[in-house]
Amino acid sequence: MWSSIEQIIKPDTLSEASVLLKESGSVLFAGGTYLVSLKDAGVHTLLDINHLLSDEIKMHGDEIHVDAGCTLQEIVNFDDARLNGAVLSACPSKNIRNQRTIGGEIARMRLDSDLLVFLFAAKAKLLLSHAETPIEVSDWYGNGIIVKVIIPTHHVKLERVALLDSAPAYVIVGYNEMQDIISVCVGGKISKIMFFQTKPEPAEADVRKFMDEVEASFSNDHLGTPAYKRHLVSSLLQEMAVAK
Amino acid sequence: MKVIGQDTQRVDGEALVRGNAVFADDIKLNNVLHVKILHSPVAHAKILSIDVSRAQALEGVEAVFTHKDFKTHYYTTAGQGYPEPGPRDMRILDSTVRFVGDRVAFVAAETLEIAEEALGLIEVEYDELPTIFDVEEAMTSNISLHSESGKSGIHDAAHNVAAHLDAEIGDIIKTLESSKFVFEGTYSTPFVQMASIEPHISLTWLDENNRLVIRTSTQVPFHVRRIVAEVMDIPVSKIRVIKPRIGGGFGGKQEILNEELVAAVTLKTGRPARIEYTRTEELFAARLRHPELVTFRLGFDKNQILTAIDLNILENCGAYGPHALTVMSVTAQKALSMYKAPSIRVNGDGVYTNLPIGGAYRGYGAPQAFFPLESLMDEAANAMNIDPIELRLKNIFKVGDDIPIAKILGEGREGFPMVLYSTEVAACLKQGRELSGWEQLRSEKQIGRYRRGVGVAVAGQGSGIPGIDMGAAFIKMNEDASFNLQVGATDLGTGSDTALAQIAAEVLGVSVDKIIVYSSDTDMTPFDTGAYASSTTYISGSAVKKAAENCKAMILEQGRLLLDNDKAEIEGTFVVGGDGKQISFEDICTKSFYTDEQKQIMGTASHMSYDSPPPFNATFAEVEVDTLTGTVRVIKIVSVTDAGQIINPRMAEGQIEGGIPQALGMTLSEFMPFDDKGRPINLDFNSYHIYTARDMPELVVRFADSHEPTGPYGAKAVAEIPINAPAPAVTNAVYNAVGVRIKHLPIRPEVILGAMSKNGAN
Repeated sequence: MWSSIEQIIKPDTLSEASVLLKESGSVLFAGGTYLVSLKDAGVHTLLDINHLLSDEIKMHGDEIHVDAGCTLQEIVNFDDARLNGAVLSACPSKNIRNQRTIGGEIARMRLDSDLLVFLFAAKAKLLLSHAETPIEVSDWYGNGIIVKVIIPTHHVKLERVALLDSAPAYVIVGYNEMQDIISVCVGGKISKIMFFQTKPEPAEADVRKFMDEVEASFSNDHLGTPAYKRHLVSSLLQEMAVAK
Repeated sequence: MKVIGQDTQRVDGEALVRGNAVFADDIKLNNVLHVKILHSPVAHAKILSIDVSRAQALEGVEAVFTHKDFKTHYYTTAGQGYPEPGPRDMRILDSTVRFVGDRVAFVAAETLEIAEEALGLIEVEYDELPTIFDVEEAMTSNISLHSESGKSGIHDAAHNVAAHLDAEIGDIIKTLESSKFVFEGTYSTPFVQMASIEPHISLTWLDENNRLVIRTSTQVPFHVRRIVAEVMDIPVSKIRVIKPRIGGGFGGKQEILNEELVAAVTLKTGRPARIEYTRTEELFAARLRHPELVTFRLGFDKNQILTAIDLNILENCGAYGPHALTVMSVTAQKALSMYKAPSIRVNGDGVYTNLPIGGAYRGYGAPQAFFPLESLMDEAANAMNIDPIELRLKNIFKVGDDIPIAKILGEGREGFPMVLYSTEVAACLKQGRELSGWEQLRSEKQIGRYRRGVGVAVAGQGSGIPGIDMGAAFIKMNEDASFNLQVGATDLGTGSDTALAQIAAEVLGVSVDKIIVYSSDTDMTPFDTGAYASSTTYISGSAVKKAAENCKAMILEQGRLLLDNDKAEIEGTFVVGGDGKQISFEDICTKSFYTDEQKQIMGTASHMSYDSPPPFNATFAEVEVDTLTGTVRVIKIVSVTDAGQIINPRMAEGQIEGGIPQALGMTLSEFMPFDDKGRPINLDFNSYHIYTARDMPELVVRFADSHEPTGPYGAKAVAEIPINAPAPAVTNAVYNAVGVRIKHLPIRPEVILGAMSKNGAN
């Protein structure tokens, strides 16, 4: 536990948790994870919401409904091939999958999470504690407590480029081609998740603009130049589009 | 042999798998102080002022130490060899910091959290100094990192040269000029970290006689005792060092790291103290493998026989030089002990920079040697249109050959003459060729996105350091014919306690469970230089064998006395008179204790050697290159090793299987970049990628049938050899797959794509 943490509070309701969360220095704690992306010495209160989150996963029509308290291992056990690859790549360790929840995975917004890229590309929706209608994961900016993740019918293909199979990928590309729309998501060692939607046969200028933004979002590091990473995204997208 | 060559159960195995309290931190000390270090955030600076008053005032802080608390005394944290061959360039705390991670101060507090909080309250004013990160620049720069008087053993402080070596046999220039073929290449190997499961951890307390006890995860308990005594200015007799089980060392625990800090806390406060490095600290403030920039020139005659090997080494020591000379010496020595050439030359400089400290890491300079050498041999084979295996077979040293470099270049000083009494590297190559599917893979045309290739490399190592390493053993007998074996040798998770028990058991004719091993306690066990340089089986094992033989001779002598028969001999666990009378080992010992001819049956012996017989290895790598991304996956490794007689096959196999992923990490995934201020970037296992079980290729591990006449029961070393050849085997395989020659590790996928694009290979 971080040395700055002074107390752990177990709110009675998610509403109460939402109110407490607005106080500076408070973070949510669920599934063994502090739901913030970086260690922060200013954090003094953990809001333990484990008891408030459900952990059911089920089919609802063509959609998969996953409660935010579902661990990644429970998702693997649900045995949906569409999800499994992303989950196993995002978290190769079963011990850790038994702790990490899908809610936490989204809340932490780890840019190199294969699962997050998958959910973006799949146009997954989030049901928040304070809202009645779900919003797309790409429209969520960290406000509210996630209670459910809804994964609609999709044809997501996921490609990752990593130094090792067990290592976080430095480029992750999700490609989802539906009848009337294509969604693309790019993650990895990147400054922000890049998301792009278009009708089939997109305008060349739109694609170029997106790819320019993708390139700009990568840094020049030991894993390669932004131009190399752009090349990876471009090549992988072409492969996935051709292989449809 | 009944015990040697058998997969006996490890003597520490049950305790380990049961999770018993066996490691350094598995004891609870009352009233313990937790120690944390304030590491420098800047790469080079003078400390203008340091105010610890706020930290000192924090409730729960017992003591804060800065450079003002210690008199100026320069020492080296590397203990091997005495007097130490490396520079004495380090203080416990200094008023100048030389890399990001250098020690600025340390705090002792009631809890870890308080200690961490106190670090944040120490106010330091730094006068930042110019930095040097590049070795070539360091040698010509007007910045000197170690210009202070009082330091010693530095080759050329003005030019930041911590250590230098040169040697020549024959006339290299003339030989190269007259050679039919000459090949030249410059290659580099990077910083990599040992990544032991157990980090550095040390505990100290004062015993009932006010002696300092240090319980620490070390490979060198006797060096710890000597160095801490020197640094703390107390007699060796006032210190006891205990090495419990260790969760891996790989060389990273071959020098003292924080033992002197906790010792200082305990000596000042009288209270127990504890320090444990975090994983992040391990990655930037412990020790790393020295990066080396190595240039080879190889000359061949018209028959593809080597005429000359010219070697130039530029070693990056980082901010201090504990192993500057010795690691570089091993690079030279191992590179020039593989192939026979009438003319050889080496020139090397170990250079200071404002980067983390280079230290001992499994292989200790040899991986830095064999990556360039074996890459260039591959290039040469291709250029001369000869099978790479055949080229190696033509040029390797053979049994009976003198290895001339060994005499003129020891480890940090002149060496000793060396004749090769055993080598099965040719057999390793031939077996590996079959097991790897070499012929078929080499002949397959590769097309498509994923392309496969196969590569080979050979390597050698040593078995201890000739003329330096020494081990000793003491064996005493008990009434039930069990034996206490006490050795200074250090089992760092390798299973050496078990191997030594097997050697003793073989000599004494008893089962391994009759040997009770106690090792690595400076009060209780005889001296041993420590576990490094692949020395334990060969050096300490020979000491154990001698001690057991002495003990056995005493059993026989005592048996003859008790039987009153000078002709009696040992048969199994009896002394048999041939006149129908016999006496068991149990009875001999029991009578010797209590009734007849009373004495303790025991044996003691020491062993050192001027020989260091090289184990050899041939590694074959099969890789798959993704021509779309440039990434490389290793599909299969075939590793065939000549380690002499194998003492315990399962443990030896474990050594090989452990060394390979470390080598693959250096080759493919372990990136340790720094920003332009010298700050390390990859500070956890999420960004510094070591090989995991999930990443492992298929491993085929074999041992050649071999016997080393100077080793205990024919054994040579096995600990380091597997780490030397995988890197060049992989890069040679990449060349075979896509025609791209990798000269700098780790492999950057972008470099592969760029080179393929240039070659038109994709």
